[in-house]
Amino acid sequence: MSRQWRGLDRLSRDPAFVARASAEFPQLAAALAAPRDRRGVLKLMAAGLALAGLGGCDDGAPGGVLIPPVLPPTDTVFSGNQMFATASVVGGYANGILVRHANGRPIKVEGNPLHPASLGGTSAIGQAEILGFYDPDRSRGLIRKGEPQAWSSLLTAVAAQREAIRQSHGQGFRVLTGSTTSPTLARQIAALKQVYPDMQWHRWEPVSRDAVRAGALLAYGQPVELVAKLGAVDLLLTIDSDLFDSAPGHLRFARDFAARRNPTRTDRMNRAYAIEPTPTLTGVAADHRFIAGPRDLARIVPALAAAVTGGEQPADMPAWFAPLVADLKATRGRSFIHAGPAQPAAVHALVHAMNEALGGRGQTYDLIASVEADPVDHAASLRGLIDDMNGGRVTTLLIIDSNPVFTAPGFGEALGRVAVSMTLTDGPTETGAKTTWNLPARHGFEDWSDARAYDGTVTLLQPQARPLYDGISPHYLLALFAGPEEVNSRDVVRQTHGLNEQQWHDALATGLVAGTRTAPSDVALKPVQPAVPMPAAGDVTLLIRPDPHLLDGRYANNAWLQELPRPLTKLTWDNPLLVSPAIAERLKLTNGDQVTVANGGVGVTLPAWIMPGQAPDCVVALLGFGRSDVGMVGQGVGFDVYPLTAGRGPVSLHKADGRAVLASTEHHDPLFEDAGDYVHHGTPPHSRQIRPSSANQRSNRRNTTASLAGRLPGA
Amino acid sequence: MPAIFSPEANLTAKLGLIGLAGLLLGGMGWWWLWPRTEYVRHNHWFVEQKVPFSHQHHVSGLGIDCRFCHMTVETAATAGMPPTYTCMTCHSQIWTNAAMLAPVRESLANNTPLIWRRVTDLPDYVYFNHKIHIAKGVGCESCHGTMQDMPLTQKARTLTMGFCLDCHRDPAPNLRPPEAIYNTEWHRTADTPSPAVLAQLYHVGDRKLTDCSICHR
Repeated sequence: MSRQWRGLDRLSRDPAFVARASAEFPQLAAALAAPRDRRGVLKLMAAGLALAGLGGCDDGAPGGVLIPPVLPPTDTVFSGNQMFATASVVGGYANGILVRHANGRPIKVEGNPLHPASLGGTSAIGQAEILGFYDPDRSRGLIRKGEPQAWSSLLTAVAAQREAIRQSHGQGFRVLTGSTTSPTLARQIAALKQVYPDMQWHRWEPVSRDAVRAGALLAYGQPVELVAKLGAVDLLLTIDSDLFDSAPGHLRFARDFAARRNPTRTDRMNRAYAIEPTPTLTGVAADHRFIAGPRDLARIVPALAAAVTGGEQPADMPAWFAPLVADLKATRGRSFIHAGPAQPAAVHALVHAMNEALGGRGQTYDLIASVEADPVDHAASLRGLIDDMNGGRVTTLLIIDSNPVFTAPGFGEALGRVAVSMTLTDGPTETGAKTTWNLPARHGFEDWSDARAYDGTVTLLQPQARPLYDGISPHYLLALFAGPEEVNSRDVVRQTHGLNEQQWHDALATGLVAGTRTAPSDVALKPVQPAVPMPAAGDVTLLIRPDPHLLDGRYANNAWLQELPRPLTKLTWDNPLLVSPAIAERLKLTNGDQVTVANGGVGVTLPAWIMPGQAPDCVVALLGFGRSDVGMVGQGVGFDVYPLTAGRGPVSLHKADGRAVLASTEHHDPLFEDAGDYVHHGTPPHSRQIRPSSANQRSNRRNTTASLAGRLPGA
Repeated sequence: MPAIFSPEANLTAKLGLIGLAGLLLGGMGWWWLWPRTEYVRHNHWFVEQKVPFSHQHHVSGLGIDCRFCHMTVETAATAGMPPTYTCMTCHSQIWTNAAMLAPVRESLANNTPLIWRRVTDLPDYVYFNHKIHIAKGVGCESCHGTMQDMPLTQKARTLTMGFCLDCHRDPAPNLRPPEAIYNTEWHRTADTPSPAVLAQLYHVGDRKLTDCSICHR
């Protein structure tokens, strides 16, 4: 039986840590050391009860004031809290939410139980959007070259642009957006292309799903997307996966998975294996977690594919390999393998082939036509744009909801060669400061729009309040480039879906357009054997991942997301380099020591944080911090590691001078080992012993001899 | 050996003990009674307001329904205070120059809300919802007293936990027919349905209304 611990210095009983923890709660250590004393406990309980009674005393004097409004809100009758459906859109994919209103103001985000991606759940980012809505740093007005402008000047400028672009058939006109699933935005850009046939639509999402898309193209010839049906999955294998933390539909997946984890609620518990270089939420939820660095994965995944699809028995594999293959084969049609977006396209293609071979298609997952509108390779798309900018082939650039100056090294320099550039953004960004025009966008809670969920369900975004500051919608701006008439974003969205009055009403009430889930595709697997590229050998392998809460940096000005401890590291307000214990030992690092990590010629100096459970050769840099132009909360917090994304190896890591103090909640409320094991581990038979009453419900449990399920964790 | 205590000592000791017991009993009585007095509960205290609004004049004099001003009483937890606009629907036509109404006119002119001091207030740890009480046939008068007789608004009931529980233990006698909920002059007559019939009509009594979590959520 493994003993639980929190934090390495807690495990090693580092004297400095014990001293600090004891100083924080001096009575706690004494109380835990003292023998349990029934009389003392009763005395404290009685005192607690008496004090609670005193606290309940009401002196009877009425206090406070009542402040009614001067004018009643039109056409409304106040009835306490009200909820309105809309969506939180991350990486283009919608998650249905309900926004709670008090006195006509949005105050709280809840999940939308009717929405397939939510089922009533919201992510931390969804919850924090309410703070982003009230952010005083949001863009408030139109700025051209640093000077505030009147709205009429934008109309004049766009009219001039329209004329110029029309003459060149849109030759130098480029639109850059993030990943989008919005049918309305896609329709508007298609309409723009009708007017300007030679224009181009570029896409750039720094938290890239390029490999997922490319993997589907390799395996099926089409950019199909996976829809996991975890409720039907008995055996889940994840390879460096984001299934429960950031994949489109992750909230739904986590719920479906958890529903099959509680032995009192299900008679067929699922089993999960994870193979990953650095701990993820998916990995820590797994029954069996195997650590494998990128070089190991490049060797193991093809071997796994050969064993599963071809029945080969590759030599020189870890001890867990053969039982895992046997278990996968024993659960044919009830297993599902998922690879994360950081894995190369070939891994995704192999995973597709394995899933097909295991007969899960239609049972444990579906393939659907791409949910993303007009899917392209983002890296190639942006590279094309930067090349064209440098080559002087871009005259007008419209950047919507993207911050390439911060997230794409080299973009800022190329931007100087564009005659007219416009950024539409709802807060200050590095890109907005460099483009000719900086247009204030409406917040998602102030505007009409639409987006699709992971399964294709069309989700409507409706305004939750009148705009706090002057701003425009991307739909308005795109329409303005297409023609002189100013449109209302509500009309544009409604036109896209062609709903009648009743359907429109129902769609707004439920937050989604009924019956728009994408039907499963029957595309056939192509017989290819993609080769997984072997990462270059070296002492150190650099992995670059998005911060779990700030993602690519767009939420850096949200104090709630900055303050919320990251899963596993429990760090707040900082993004140290996560180093493996092996590297820490080699370089004699402790948490907070400054290190310089370099990729190619580019180096960044930042503190280190030891991450247990990380592959011995890996360091992980987290994106999203170090914003230089974002607002008073996120300005200069953490370290910008985007420069590292431009390097092409080799990676080096050195200890630098100095230390930084990092804020981690890992040591809050320490529990010493005297408190005993606070998490119980066991296998299903073990839990039957604990709860004999529910044992007979699961009498027909399946037993596989090759299974690792009987193994105790840590054994 | 001379006596240590004088003959009076017995009496003194007895009186002292009786006095001590009396003091103790009196103290306990005071401790129990004092917070329940009308004085401490601020019952029938007038609260000074910027505008000396008279419920007596508006309700019994003019016959304005409670809901004309307290318009969310049927739909929300709070009964709602009227926006200045509601006052001015009439007072832009009548008493347009009354000095008493100057704060109301200024509120509308300057778009600054009128501020009323609370007369009835419940502690924050008590959940109270007007909507459900109205829906279940509890009249305004049961808690707010005879508002139609108040030239200046005052608190009419103690609103202690005991007051709430008295009714929650046996709500039926305090229920009214739906048409009488806002009627300030209503009294039970021979034609009024019996409390048991009313309780059945409102489906009152199906739930334990004395559970802690009913009010302390």
